[in-house]
Amino acid sequence: MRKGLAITALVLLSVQLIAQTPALLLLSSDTLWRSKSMMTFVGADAGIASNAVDWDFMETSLFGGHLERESINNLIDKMPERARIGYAGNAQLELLNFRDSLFGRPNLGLRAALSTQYNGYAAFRPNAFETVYRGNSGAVNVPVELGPLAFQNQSWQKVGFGLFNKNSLSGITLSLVEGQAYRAADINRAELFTAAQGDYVSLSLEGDYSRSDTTRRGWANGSGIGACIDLDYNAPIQQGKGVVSFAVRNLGFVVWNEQSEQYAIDTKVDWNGLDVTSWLSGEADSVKFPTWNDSLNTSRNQAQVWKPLPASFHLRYLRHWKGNRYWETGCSFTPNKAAVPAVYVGLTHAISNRLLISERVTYGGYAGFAIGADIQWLFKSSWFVRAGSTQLEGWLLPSAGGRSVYFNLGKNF
Amino acid sequence: MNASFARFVVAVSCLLAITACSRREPTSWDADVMGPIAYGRLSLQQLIADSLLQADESGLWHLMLDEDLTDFDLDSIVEIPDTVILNEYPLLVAGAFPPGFALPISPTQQITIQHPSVQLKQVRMKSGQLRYRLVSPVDGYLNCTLNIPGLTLNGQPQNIAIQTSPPAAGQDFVAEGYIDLTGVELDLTGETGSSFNRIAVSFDVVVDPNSAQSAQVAVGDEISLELEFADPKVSYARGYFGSHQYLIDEQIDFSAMATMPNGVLNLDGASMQFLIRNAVGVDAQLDFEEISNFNSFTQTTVALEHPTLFDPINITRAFDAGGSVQAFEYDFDVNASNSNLDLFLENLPSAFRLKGDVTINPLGNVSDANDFIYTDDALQARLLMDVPLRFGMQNLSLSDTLFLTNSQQDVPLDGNLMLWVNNGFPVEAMVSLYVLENGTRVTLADNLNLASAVPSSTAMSPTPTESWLDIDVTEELLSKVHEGNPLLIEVTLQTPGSLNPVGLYLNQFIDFKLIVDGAYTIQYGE
Repeated sequence: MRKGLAITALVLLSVQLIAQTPALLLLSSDTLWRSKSMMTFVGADAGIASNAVDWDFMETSLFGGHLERESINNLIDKMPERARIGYAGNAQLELLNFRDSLFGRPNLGLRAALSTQYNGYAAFRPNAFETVYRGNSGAVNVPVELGPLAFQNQSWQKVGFGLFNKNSLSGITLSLVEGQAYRAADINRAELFTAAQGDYVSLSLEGDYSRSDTTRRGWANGSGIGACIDLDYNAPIQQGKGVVSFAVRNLGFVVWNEQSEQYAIDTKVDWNGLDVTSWLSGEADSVKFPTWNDSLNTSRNQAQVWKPLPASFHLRYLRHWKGNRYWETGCSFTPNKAAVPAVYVGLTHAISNRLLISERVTYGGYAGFAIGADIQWLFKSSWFVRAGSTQLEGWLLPSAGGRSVYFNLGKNF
Repeated sequence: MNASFARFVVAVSCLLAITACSRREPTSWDADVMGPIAYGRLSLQQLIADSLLQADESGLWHLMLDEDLTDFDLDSIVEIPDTVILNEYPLLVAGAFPPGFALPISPTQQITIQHPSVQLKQVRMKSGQLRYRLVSPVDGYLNCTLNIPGLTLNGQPQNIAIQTSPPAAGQDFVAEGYIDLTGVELDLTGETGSSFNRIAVSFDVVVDPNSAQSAQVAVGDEISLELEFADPKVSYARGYFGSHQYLIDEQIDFSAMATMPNGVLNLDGASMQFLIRNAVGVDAQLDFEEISNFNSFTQTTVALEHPTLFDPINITRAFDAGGSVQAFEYDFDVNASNSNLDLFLENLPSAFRLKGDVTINPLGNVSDANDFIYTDDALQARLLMDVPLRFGMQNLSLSDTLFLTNSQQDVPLDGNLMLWVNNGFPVEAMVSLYVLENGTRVTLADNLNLASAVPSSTAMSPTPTESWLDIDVTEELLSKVHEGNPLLIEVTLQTPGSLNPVGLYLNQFIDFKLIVDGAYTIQYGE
């Protein structure tokens, strides 16, 4: 019961940020932890990152408060032309079976995993941000190009079974995916024009918008169903003093149900204000506000739709440097409209055979430069703890481009 | 991992999960927004009730007033009052009487309707009931019939036939019913055929021929029959309607129909017409005592002057040619050439008063009791007023209050509201806006100048003029409007050439657009 509580609480916390197999489990000469029949991991991660807005802005946007003009002006002044923001949240329970052999191969084990995942991003131009947060009055009588814009927000749960190599922990897991929610827009063109005297505002839009069944709400609501593959390949180098890893996460899809909606938008909305003539003459009791549906020229299609999961690809090269230190480099790539490939270099200190402390500098993904730190501890040959952050500066500086945290706890039985 | 470490992890996890993911307050920021809020077009029809406006063939607006001055009901004088008539028929014999035997009674041969002032000979009913109630103490089966030869429906005389039964459980036999009077004609000349307000009737009582038993009549037995005219309404009446005088005292309050202005107004071409139409077969005399108006702002009363309107007006009776009525009509034109009508109307009245009287049959019964009335078309007196909206104005001020909203939600705006106006009327305006807060004026905008349209070669199409009116607003000021306080609008109008008349035409409008330019606090996550 106590174990169950602990696992549940950790799942609540929110390991996608650290997609690779923990280095300590691959490098440590202590292999006693594999001697038990089962190794269980629970963990969670959460992180948000941007190359355009800082943690102060993100925190106020998420948890409330007033965004000061000065802060917004500073963000706009430094904002890159291709602005991006993304987040990921994940909670996972993983079981590795070391006892049984599979298909007559003693090195082959069975892996089972259960997780819930949240992922989203937005790609935008400074003009769009400026218009939203600073208003339109600074750019009158000139068309303001707001696009291209893209955002996606997806949540899903998955349960998977797979095989893994008990020595290298390489493996493949095939999961059944339950789609919770999907919402995405891809605006190719968005132009805002405000007439010189403000008596006319026009917005041109061209793009697509999709969303899953909005009648279903809440966790694991069954709006879609799909499948995905997770892959780990770890190859020891330097007689076990280094490793080359390749990982794939969430390579799959969800078929969202027939209540899903897809809109093709190609419209120009002209806003002259509310027509109050009838109200003033007493013919109408109230003024009717137009809705977006009244104004937008859209074509709507409601049908089952196939959408890919936000897959990610990770490569790592880690080798012994000198003394008890290792250096590491790698890259991660999430193919979407916002993220760019993330590359990193890091240094790992082997405090002991069972304790690693790492520092890392990363560039890319949704953010710019980021400093990370990680600790991995294997103790009593039965417990494994890993904690860290890929964006440590977010916990220290409000001007940092994001914040992340992860925690993973393993126990063999 | 020992138990205490596990508890620590659980506690920290829960704390982080609860505190890290909860929204503390809404997220907000100030954005400088600029854009249109509302637009519209104001014509004269938005300012004055449709029923009062009419455009002539040139497109010039006219203010038209059509008021019925006859609030007295002439048809009320011929109404038959609710009447209850109790007839008791003593049976003059006693004993057992076989079936088919006609019992001798002392019948009442006519019923009199008590009418205070009118001698009716004939009426046609449009509604009402003749209710009856018969009580019989006779131990037997009787056929009782009240014949009313003067009560006809489609030419057929009507009667009331009731079959009685012997008393039961010690109670006399009682029967009730009614005749629907809709469409019924009533001859009120009585038995003689030359009287008035009388209905000839006869009552018969016969022992039911089909009865298996004789009727036992005791000494003193009498049959009572109660008749009641209930809520009778007349559609036509003939007779002598008497000589009556009706007072006219009409007061028309214009403030209920339109906001009346103050200032100096120069009208041109106004006219008024009194129309009298008599479709009643009675002579009448109309005598206007006073026609005046009252300006409540200046407390000024102006009486209408006319050379003949205030003399007694004799109105000849209408002629009934077998149901086709030839009415007699009179009209009196009142205009600038025969009265002080312009001065009368330039008083900018908030109320109009008319006093006088109407006398019918001033010479008595000169028709040998052949007055008639079709109640759907009686005596009519109307006042028609036509004021062409061609006038000059000097500091003509209008004010009105309106509630924009009763919402308590604030509008978080600091900046300008800009009102663009394209005025097609040849009238210049000075506009002030106030919020009335606990009876105190809080100024929103003061003396905003709305330029007049520029006269062109075509009187009806002056060139519209654009004006920009800036109204500085703050969140605090706007909150006063949203607290349910009314907005007071004061407009002072002036025609470009002072009091030289200009016309207001059908194709003239004020186009407007309200634009916001200021810092607006955008908020989400409440």
